[in-house]
Amino acid sequence: MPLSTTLSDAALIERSWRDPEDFALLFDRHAGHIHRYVARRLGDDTADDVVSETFLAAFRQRRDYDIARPEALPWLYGFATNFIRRHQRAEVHRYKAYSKVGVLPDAVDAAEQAVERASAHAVRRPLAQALASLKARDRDVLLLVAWADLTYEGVADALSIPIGTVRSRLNRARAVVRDALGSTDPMTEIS
Amino acid sequence: MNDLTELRDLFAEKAHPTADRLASARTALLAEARAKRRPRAAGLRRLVLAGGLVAAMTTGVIVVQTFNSAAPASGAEVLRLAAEAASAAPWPEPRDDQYLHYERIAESRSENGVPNVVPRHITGEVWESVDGSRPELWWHKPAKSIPRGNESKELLPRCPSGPGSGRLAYADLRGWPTDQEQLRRKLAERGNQSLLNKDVATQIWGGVVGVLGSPVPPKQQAAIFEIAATLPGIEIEELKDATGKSGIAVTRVDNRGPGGAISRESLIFDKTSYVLLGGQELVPGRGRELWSITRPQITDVLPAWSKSLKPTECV
Repeated sequence: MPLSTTLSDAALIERSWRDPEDFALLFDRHAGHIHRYVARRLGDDTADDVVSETFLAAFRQRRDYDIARPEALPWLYGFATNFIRRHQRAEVHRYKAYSKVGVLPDAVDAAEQAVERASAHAVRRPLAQALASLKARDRDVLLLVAWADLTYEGVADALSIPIGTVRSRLNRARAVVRDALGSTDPMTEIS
Repeated sequence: MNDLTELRDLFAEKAHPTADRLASARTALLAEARAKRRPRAAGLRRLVLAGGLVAAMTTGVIVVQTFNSAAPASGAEVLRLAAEAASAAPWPEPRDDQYLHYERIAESRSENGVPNVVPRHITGEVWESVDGSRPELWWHKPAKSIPRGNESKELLPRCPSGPGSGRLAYADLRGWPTDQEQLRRKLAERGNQSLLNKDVATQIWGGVVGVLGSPVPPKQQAAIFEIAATLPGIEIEELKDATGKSGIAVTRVDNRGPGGAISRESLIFDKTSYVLLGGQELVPGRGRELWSITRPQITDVLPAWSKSLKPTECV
């Protein structure tokens, strides 16, 4: 369908001002990325809700979108981040649980748990512990860079903060992660 | 491995969601989008419900179908639908100190090898001062079909006389009446400037197509379409606009061509939304000219590169 393949995100959003249903094409383009990102932080079930809330909120604010920005992913990640914050305690609990037993609390079946436990070597558990210990705003910046692959500019757009603030939050978060990794021997497997 | 690389690997086995997983979020979005669809007047709503545009969600795919049986039956009906579409279109009113920035594509072709119609294809960008108080910026880009073709950038002030002196600014059009009788007179006056000694309907049509060659405020655009719908001699046909997009055209046939030759001048509309795409003038046996205006936006300033340009002098 040419509309969904040839137009920039900005052009699609602009079209949706007149034809609201065109916004569904933006969903088709990006919902998978947003879902996977949120699911890594909160698990699939919560990600289902966050993705739905994200696109509804973005749809309602589509007229505020700056159409000079062709890529809408940072804008969408900004909404997603706001909804993720509502589940902050669950997110921290999730990382802590993983750091203790090597299994995520929302792992759905025994086979998945076994795979997770097997892969939860000495690096992953302290990493999860480090994520749990970060301030929420530092964790947001770190994970938007590491998991959502946003540039510093993209993170600044997503969170409506200056690039300097992105850098300082990222540096702070990376220092915590490096400390956590420094205290482990990555060659040691935990069974 | 550094800290970010390690972190990128954490939970990286999480797979992309399936379409089934996303289906309920998509359905919720579409339901809201459909509820927010702008209410349109009865004619257009009837068309949509009769099958002009049906969007159905099936595992994440939008299916669009068009049924010819619901197509408008006359030029007047197309123009009335276009008036409704113009009224319903979301368009933030620009301030007087802003610019309208849009792309203009024009193409002319000769027919039967007629020599005095020069084939050309122009793609340009225009920055039009909303109240006309500042020079208009034109950027003609070289045509892809002509290697090393001419590119030109011009700053054109609105001059009291000479070329372009009669150019209407967007803010001037905003001050135009929407009352049918007054607007008919305005359009006839406008048409009469280039079409002396023609009948009133031809003058009005000339005014209509002339004025619509630049962005027009939605209210006035709707009123202009309403007036055009009342003119005798209009018909519908399918035409491609200057971008190659197929649309539904309202054409008026008269003798405005060179030496009183038959001229078919058309306004071309999107087949489903009835938004104006552009126009065409065809003088059978001689040539045709197509134009389109695309991507209109509002902007506060001219691009930085225009600072090196000197405004052309008024004569």
